[in-house]
Amino acid sequence: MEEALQSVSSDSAVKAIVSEMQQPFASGSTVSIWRNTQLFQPEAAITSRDDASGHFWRRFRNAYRYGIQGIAVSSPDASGTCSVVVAEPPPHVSLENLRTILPDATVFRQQLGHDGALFDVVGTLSGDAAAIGNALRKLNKLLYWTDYKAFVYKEPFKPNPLDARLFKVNVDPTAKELLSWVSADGGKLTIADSSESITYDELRKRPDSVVCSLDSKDLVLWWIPTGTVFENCVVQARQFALDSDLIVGAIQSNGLVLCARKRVAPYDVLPPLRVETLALLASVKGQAHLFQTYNDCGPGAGDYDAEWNWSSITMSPELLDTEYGDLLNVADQTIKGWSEAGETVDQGFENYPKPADFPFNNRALSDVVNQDDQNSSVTFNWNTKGSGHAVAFQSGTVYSPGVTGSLSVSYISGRASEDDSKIVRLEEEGYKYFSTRGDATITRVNQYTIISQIFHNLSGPSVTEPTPKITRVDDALIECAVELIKKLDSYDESDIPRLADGDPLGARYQKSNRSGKEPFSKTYLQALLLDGLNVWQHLSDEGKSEIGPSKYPSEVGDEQLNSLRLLMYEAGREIDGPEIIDARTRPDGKAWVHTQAIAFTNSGPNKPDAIGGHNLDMPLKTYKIDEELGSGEVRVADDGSITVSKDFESKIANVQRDFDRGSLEGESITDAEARLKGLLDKAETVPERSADTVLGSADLPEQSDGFKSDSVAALPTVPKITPPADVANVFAASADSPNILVVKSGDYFWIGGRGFHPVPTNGMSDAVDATIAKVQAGGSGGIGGGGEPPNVEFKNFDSGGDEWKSFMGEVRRKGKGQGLPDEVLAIFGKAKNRINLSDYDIAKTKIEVGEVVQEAGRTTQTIDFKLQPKVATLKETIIRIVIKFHEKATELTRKVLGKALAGRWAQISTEGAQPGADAVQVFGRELRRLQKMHDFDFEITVTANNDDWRIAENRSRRLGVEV
Amino acid sequence: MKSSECSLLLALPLTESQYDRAIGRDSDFLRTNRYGAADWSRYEQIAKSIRSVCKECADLEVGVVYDARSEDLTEATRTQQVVAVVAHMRYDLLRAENVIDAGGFQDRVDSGMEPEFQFVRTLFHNRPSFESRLAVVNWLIKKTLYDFSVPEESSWPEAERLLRQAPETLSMLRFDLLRFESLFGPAIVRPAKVVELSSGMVTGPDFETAIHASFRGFLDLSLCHSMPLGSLIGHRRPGLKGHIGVGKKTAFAEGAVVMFLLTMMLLNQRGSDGLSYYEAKTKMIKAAK
Repeated sequence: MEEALQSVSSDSAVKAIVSEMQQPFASGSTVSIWRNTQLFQPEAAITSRDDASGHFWRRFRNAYRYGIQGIAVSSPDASGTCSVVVAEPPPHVSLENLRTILPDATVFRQQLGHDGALFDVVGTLSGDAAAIGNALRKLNKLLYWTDYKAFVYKEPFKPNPLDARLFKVNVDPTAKELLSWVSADGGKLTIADSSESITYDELRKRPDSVVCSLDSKDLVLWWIPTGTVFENCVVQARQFALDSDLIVGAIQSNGLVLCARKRVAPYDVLPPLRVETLALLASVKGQAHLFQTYNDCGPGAGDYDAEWNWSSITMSPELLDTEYGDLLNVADQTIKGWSEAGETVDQGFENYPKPADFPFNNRALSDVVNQDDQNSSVTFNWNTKGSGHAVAFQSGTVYSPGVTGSLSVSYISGRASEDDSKIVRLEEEGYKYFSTRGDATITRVNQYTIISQIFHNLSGPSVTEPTPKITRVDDALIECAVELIKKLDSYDESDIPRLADGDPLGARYQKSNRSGKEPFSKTYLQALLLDGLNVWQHLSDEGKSEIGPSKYPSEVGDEQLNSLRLLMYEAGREIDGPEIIDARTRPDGKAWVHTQAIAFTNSGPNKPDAIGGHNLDMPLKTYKIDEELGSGEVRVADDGSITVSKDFESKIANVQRDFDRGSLEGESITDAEARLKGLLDKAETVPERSADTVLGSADLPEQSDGFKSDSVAALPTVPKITPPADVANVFAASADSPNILVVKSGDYFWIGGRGFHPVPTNGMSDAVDATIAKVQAGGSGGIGGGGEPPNVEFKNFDSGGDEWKSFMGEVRRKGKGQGLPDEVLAIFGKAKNRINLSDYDIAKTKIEVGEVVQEAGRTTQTIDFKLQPKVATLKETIIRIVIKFHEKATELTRKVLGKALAGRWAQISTEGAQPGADAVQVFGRELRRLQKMHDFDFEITVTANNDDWRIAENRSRRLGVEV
Repeated sequence: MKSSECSLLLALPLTESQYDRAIGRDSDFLRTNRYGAADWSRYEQIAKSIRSVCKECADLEVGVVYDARSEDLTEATRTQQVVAVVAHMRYDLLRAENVIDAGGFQDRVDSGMEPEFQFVRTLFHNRPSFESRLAVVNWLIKKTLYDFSVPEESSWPEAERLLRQAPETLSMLRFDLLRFESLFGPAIVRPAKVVELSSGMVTGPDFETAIHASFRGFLDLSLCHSMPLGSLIGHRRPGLKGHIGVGKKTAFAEGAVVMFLLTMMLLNQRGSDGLSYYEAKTKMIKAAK
């Protein structure tokens, strides 16, 4: 062993080969969340049709006017035909895909606000109940990659976002409580879609992502191991979304445990979170800030007619045409509308259900704030200030959302003199009102924001392909700005002040742009606009030369972007901004959700413009508990990290919001420490509560998986096909194997593995397809962990025959086009096909590297590893590697390969394989990698205690034949 | 391997007299195919084109057999290493008139433990009538035909690929007539005549029986949806598993013979290097794609 290890470090050629064996594993995922290609023709979408399906869609959308994803099915007519609505399919599904199940599918458009749209696919299904049920399961599978708990919406449709209030959506678990509930001794976790039961400690050692329920606490946990690729756990994401209805926090410890309340609300009240939105949040987890804003600073924005004024809607480019972006728009109209006592309404949202009462004693906020100045504006913002935070305990860092009912609220008065304390009081009143409203949209926005913060601050999953960035609104605004600059060029300086049409531009600008000191002139305005354009970096050289040279005002600084928008607002009436925006922001058919670019708002008589949006900051305050710190002590470090003494542990939840909201820009560390200590000293200890009490489980109506609503129907469970006893026994014997098993029995191949029922196939071609699908679906639970797919084990095949090798050849041939990695191994054996290295005295392993032998035109080399057992009841285990060099193999390869393999095995066996992985299989997979670079075939034969097995791989793939 | 070790059996009418004879026996091929069956003048160009390719095959010393019958299949599989059959095959449903023993049929459907029967039962709600059972069986046979038409391999995006698995908890079984005939057995279901040779329609088992018992070579079935027939032969002759070429989709005679000719040409160039018929044809298909 020592000698083998030594050669790795001393012989550069050996070292090079060992290094090649350990190259990073290429992800095998072929799941695409976003195709970013045209999925349908939006211009062909219709808004009505006078037939049964058209009427059914209308009834569905009259009920669900805003975002909803899912499948709705009508009762069958006399001929057995039913109408099917696939509402807002996810962005990996095209109309063509849907037509494979709904051949007569047509796209319908539901208008959203002024220019937004939701696209649905409407078709019919015919046949008996079983045929229709089967097709609906296929639809579920197509939309969500799984038919786990497949369901459909059915009539009577009776949604009301405010019904969510019945299910206590505003809960406030503390970090300490979450940790205590989840890690309590003896808690058993049941894995979704399986009867497997594990402990919390066992969960955190699993290499694969799983969803499980902690029934004793009514919690659902989604385990996301560190390094997880989202595309490899889309099924778990869907399971989590179905099994839970409220995200309540997360724990980071060896990976991420996302915690949620076990679903009590029916799907039509709190619909499952969308997988693609969760993927979006994973994709943007590196960003510190996301935003959405209805601003009145678009070109020409402002008064449209006596009733309406309009504004452009901008948001983070990743959010355009997504559910999250759409939700932010919908939530935006609620904060404005309800804060204004229902007097402010956005076009297209007139039918959004209104609460029975409004905040501020049913007075409009603008009246409360601007009592003597009706022309002052008010900005209504959702934000994350003072909501989520994290506490670093010894056993893990825990995220607590504060409350789950809504984001924080901020109101910004246009009156410079407005009293800060009054605004803060109104903000708290507004926050309390919205967080306890129980509105499904507002809650859902907060749910996604909570997950964003968790993914950003803890170890969220990554994505292989980032979400598309869409800049069409910005592009349209740039075009407006260019038009405006050109227009300004034709004016005299004396024209500039009256461009604001009675609202002196200078006064307006001075009010909103604190750094604006330069006298307003045509040149200044042009320069400001051009500077803003450069910020966006979209203007072509040609465009710049057309505008001509300009002077850059140094005062513009960081506020140039806002200045640009403001100026476009003021001067923009000179051009037809709405037309430009409208023409350039039409749906492109790459997503089924089309977010609005323009909002029309009716603020009511004598009311100022209502500006609003979302400022979603991802960084959190993290409180570290330090038992060494003296009682009552608080430390704030230069980097903002906070450490508090153990006795403050139970008070953090009570002070976090005030401390976070009270942070002032430029606050010194000493001041921050003093302020926090003051808050903690005064705060009361939060008594530890039970999960039932906090989550409300005990008081809520029993819903059982969300099916109890009469608007939701679970699809009938598909009975599983029972394998014959001999096949069942093989699967039972290999229950703990992470590999995919192919078991031959008569004319059938049964494909199975850990966590799923064996699937029968009656032809090799289908068996190969099923194997590829299962290997890829098993991505995160693979032999090597870290997203590696499992290997394929062949059982009940003739050891001497070619059938299993032909089978594997087909798996490789077909799988290659589907992204199946080369490293997946074919393993032939009867029993467990694993060795437990801890049974052996590794240091005493005998390594015998044979000579390179030329015989009968073949060049071979044999390397034996003889493992010596620790106990007498075990016999010596021999791992034999036979290398068959191809003619093309270089002299150097022939010379050092044996030594390199000996050295690498010595490394692996000394260091141990990753949890759940078999060392020999890991070694075999590395040999497959090496095959890509060198020319040889290999066979590994393991002769162990009644458990002989082998891995055989050829450099050139074998081709099987379909029969 | 060389082209001289291969045979090409054509069971389609390629001359006017063969055409007339086929019309006389009410050829299923001419009745159902898209060329415009009852009009030799429309079919003639296709026949001429196939004959022309076959002549080139014959020039390469391929044993070309026109107007192929069962006995020609027997003879070719007795003497040659590779036998390619270009013939018509009907993808048929299980017809009520072929159910000899309705009681036995119902018993098998209701209690058979083979995965196919377990699957059929999942589609019942109550105890259905014989007609309903038969309708379910035929619905599954049609579903498999649909599955055959689904594109496969590398062009599959994830979504399309998954369609074939749903509901994955159940199975990825194929349900074709020949499979059901095997499962029920001839005492319950009379095998249907689905393969058309020049001597007339034969059943799947008849076709298998016509393959010479000593045959160990490669049988290339250029028939429409020949996978069920290949599976049947493989199940009845385990020794031939892995030595039968089949297709899931509709086969086109002109394409099949052109591909065969190209394979022969490649074999004559590379056969001495140990290239097998299967490998040569795979290369040609790949190149064509």
